[in-house]
Amino acid sequence: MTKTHSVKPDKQATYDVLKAEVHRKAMDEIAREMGITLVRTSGSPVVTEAKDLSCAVLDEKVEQIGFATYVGTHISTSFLGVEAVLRNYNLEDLAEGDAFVVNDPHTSGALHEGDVGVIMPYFYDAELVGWGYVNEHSLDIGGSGVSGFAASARDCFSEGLRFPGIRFMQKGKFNREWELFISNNVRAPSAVLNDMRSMVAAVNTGQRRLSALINRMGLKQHREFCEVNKGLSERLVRQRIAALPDGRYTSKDWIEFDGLGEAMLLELVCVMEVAGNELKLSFSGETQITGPVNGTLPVVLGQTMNTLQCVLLWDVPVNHGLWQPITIDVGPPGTVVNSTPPAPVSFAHVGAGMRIDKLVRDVLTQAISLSSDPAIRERACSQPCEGIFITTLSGVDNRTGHPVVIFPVSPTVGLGGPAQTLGDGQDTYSNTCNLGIGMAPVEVDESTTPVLILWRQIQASSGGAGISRGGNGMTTAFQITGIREMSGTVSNNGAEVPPRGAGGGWSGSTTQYQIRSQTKLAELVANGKLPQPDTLGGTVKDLPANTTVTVKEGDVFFVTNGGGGGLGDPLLRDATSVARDVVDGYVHQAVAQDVYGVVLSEAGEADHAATETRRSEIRQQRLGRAPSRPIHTQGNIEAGVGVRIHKDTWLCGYCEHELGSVSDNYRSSCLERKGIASETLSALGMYARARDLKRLVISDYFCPECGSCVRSDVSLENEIIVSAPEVSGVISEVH
Amino acid sequence: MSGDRAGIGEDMSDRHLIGVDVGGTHTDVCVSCAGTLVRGKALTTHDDYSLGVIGAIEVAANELGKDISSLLLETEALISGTTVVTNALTELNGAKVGVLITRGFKDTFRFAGGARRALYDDHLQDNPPDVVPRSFIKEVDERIINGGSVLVTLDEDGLRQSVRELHAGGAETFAVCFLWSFYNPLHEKRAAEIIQEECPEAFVTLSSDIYPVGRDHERFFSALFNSFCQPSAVRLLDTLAERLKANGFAGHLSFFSGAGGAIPRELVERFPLLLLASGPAGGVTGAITLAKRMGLKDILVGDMGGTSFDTTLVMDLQPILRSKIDISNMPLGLTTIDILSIGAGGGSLAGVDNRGVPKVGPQSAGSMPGPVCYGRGGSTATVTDAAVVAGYIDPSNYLHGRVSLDLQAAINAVEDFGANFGWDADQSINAILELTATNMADALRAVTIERGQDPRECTMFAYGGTLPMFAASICSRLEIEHVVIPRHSSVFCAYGVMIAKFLRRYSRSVQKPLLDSDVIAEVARVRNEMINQASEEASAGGIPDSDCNLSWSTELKFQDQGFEIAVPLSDKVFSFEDARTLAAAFPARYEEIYGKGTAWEGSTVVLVNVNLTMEAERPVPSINAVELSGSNADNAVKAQREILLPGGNRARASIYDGAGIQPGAAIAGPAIIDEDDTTLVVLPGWSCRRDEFLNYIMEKDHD
Repeated sequence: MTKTHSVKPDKQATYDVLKAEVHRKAMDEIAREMGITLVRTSGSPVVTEAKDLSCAVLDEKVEQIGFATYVGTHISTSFLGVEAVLRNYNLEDLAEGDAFVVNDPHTSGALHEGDVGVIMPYFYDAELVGWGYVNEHSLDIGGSGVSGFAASARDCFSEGLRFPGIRFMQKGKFNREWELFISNNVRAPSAVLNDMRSMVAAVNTGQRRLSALINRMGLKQHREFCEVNKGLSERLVRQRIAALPDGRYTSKDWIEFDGLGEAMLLELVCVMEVAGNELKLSFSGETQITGPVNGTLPVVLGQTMNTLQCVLLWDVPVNHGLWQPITIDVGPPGTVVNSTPPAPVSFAHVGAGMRIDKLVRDVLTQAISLSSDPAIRERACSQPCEGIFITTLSGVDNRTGHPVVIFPVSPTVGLGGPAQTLGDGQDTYSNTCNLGIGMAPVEVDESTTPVLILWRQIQASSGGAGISRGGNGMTTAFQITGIREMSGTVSNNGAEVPPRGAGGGWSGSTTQYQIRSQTKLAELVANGKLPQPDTLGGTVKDLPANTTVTVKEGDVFFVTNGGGGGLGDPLLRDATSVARDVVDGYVHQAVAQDVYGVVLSEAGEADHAATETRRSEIRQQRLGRAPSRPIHTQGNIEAGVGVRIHKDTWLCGYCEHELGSVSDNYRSSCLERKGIASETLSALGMYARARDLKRLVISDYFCPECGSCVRSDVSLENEIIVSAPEVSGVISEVH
Repeated sequence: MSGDRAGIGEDMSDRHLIGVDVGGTHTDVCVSCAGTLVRGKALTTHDDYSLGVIGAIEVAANELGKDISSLLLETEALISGTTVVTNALTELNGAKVGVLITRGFKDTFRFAGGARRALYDDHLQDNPPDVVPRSFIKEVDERIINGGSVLVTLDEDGLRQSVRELHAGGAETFAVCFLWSFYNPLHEKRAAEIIQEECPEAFVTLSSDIYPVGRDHERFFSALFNSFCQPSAVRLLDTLAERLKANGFAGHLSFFSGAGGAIPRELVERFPLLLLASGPAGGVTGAITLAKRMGLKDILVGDMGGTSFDTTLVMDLQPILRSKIDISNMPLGLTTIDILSIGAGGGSLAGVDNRGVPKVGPQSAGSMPGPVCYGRGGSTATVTDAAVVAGYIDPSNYLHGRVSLDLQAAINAVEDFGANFGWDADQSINAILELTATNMADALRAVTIERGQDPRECTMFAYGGTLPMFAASICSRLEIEHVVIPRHSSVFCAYGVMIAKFLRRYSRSVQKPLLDSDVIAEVARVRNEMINQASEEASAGGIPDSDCNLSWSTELKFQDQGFEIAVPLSDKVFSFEDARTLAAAFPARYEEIYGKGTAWEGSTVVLVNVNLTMEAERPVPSINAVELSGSNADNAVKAQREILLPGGNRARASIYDGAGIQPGAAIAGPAIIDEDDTTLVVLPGWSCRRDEFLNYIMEKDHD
């Protein structure tokens, strides 16, 4: 059961508490109705099926007061967009019926150029009272990649049209010049223009409903309640932050990009500082590159806030109050975090963005696990798989002679989710910048795209081991049928860096894809058999992870998504759950034996006595001798809490043995086991792509007394030690 | 039978009809007898639902001065709505199902519920529950592809082996889930034969039988859940039939489906899943009949009981249907009336949310411990407690005096809640009532505005034990000016069930461009299939073909679009000429809905599905109209009491005894009308009158 963490009501409130709450619900309803209008008027499946859209209402201070979305990362885009409009136009030049278009990630808030936003000022009695904002992923935006995914672009100028917040509509009439210009520069002109019109319809809905609300409440009270509700959200955010120990928490991750020849690992660092009820997250990174994975301000702000929401602020109503106690520093311009033109950015949300999710989860969980509040500790989590396989291909249908474009989204959503204290990570999860996209049924994919899907199965043991297991990813394969040749982009942003576990939980697998030719499919089928991952056969094309390809009819895409990290030392996972996972085929028997230390009987049940023995053996192997201290009884163990602090000393989370002063790194007091990531995972039947240079290692740190794993790191081979939390605040008690 | 004034003035036989609604807390019955209706209520008996049904019928028989066996002997038909399948599915308490599925796809049930299960909260981002353990799902070599041709022939030996293993492992029922089987059911049918050979007694569902539509996620879950709920449904069927027979019933027993119509028992035995969501659908059927009689077309329907508020929109007397339904995020393909349910009822709990602001629901005190005023151990204020302290409910006359209420306990609980905010009792009550009304108004907005309908153009039908108290307050927020509170508000679902027609809906996928050369043959093929199925099912249920009324529709969309639009289809043979006409008319039809300039000019029109609705009349009771005699209801005033009005002020209101209000009499708000199982609140600025069928009509006054 989720524990709650709440603030006390304010009895001295000078406003009408009840009416303020009704006002908040009304603001959310307005944003929701804008979204409904958009979905119902749009012709684009990106909107109607994948729900790649968001809607916001802002007040005249350009602060969010209502928000509705299916893609949480969009949370940063609205105010950055309006700020861009205000840089380009004087306030006195704005009038009712004006509409502005934004899609430039470098200047006006979009996550990538494919996300087109429409902004309109809201008036009441001729007075500016706020702004309406709607954005959606457009079917196309011109440039070198379909639908804005321009893998081969080496600068932002070749990625597509870039609107920095310009007026395309006055008095409700589409400017003819812009209409002609846009339709001359995109691949699906009527669809793109209709999308813009339906966004205008959606923003108009917001204006109508806001006016009606102000009519009822009066402008003064409306403004008062906007502030009240920002304050209420802010108050809860501050209280959540205050429950984290003051200090400095660090994490590193790497953008993988091999589209420029060399297999690059571009380092990103996140430092989170907690001071009282304020939080600061500072990001830094290597120099920006000429591949489209560079980060931008909207991506870093949006992904940081979105991850904070999922982990720490799960129930806080969205408005400007969320941002008040939180500072996000994107560092100096010109890096892979904070790139500047001409850096290409059409994969920014995937390249840099998904790394931000991993970093923020890591630093948050380090702090959360040291909180004295059990409701906060319960939010500890591992990293999810953030490697997604994207391909966009075009070709000509053999039968009709028509051009065909495909963007198979189903493989992008079957990732392993982060392990939670309440239970295992979700198998076939979707990461947070991919929220609304569900997995289409096989029959829908096979009838709308020229593919035959060979399987969709959970990849056993792909999730990292732990007290709570990381979610398993999906393996799927599809064959191109009915089209002689297709060419386009392939991209995998997470083949090498495994997602980390937390609290001593282990890493998950990474994502891999292959294109196979001359498979045994026809032969198998002729013999009445369907192919399986191990019988498909064929030759594997030798390809980088990010490149352009040409495939032939009959070629098979074979994608295996990675898993999430685990939470807590796997030796402490309930043996019955491990046995059930083996029987159900979610975990391989060898992993059960060697990682979880669980021995199964003939009947597939956990043999508790044999398990006990096996687990002692594993502890001995870890320490090179018998443990000298027992672990706590099961009841005191919390998945996610690998180390604790008592006074000025680190303690093992499992036996309370002292692991040195808090001013030192607890890892120095542990026994370390280090292995090359690809080799370590491969030995467990898992996967991470091997590197020649800048190799990645997995280091497990064991308590020297009880032999429990208190932390498992993923780092570069030459990194001496990963930094530990530098806690400066007093932690009230040992829990 | 047809016409606007259904049922009135018809020759009335002295044979009775009984409608039953087995709900979570109460089992309600409605009995029609010689032009009048009586109701019965009993507690639902969860270990054997038939006991509660018999109990409720006994109450009604008492009312009529008969014993149960003479009532049942004179009963021509009994039709039952039931929550048994809904419960089996929501509690995931059902059979061990052995599943046979196309090789490569056994994890469909794990991920079909969607990759994101919550917008933000990580703790809701978990694995769906296993309906059956993964080891009960066996993959089989066989593959049919788009278009229906066989790529890999069914491996019969392998299948047989799997069936034996599942049977040995304890599988009680089976589900067969093969890709593209809706196009070509050959392999699924052969699998059924093999299962029958191996386990002759076993119940089997084929996905191509239960949901022959091209969406494997929904189709596979439908097959799985049909076999999952079958044993509990059959138990109900058997015990109910037996017990009714033992009490003298010799009439026709049928059931009520979530699609809003009666279905014969024989059909339920094959497709028990049709009973899913049957409860709330009954009220919608009743409201439509009532609206038709009153000459209304567009209505909003609301039902509020102890735990939830259910609402839906009816436009042009047609319920809005959905073709998919989610059970704990698992998608089922099943046509049901599209009812939105939120956690707002008499038992909804008042509290403080995490930001320190007041909230009501969605948690409920349920029937145990129930509201604080019930005195059964509840200590947190509920909506009912607020209504008692607000003066709406007379604590000494609740449910006709059957339950006595503890006013002081309610006051204490409400004050405890208000103390969080420094409020006095009236401020606290006002907050509870206002937030409840706001939540319900938001739900009404979702079912109207979301579908492009202006709520102000609708009449609200408000029933259930609790809603007549809130109807005027909710409607004021949405500027709805007309409210109907049906005479048998508290058993209105049972009434709707009683008067339902036989109804069955079928759907087949076509998924081809409308002007493709093979569309004509394809439409003819699926129509034949559906006609045969309809005829077979009707005759199994004892309904002659000649009584069946068939209506057809199709769904069209522009190629690659996500949403399709229903278009009626004539019952004549579908010709190429018809296809051309439909294709030519579609852009205009599309723009009618989405506005000028939105049609995808020049884009291919795709025929997605062909749908068939089969209806057959059942005997319908006539209800005698009463002469409109009263003009005022002064003699029905039994007391004066202070009540709390929205906004937090108290005013003196007349309290009326509903039994004494004559048809035609009008009452001006503020007033309270006490009915047997419910309470009406007439707000200032509203008035209420009784019509010739003893329904209450509440209307906003115009100055």
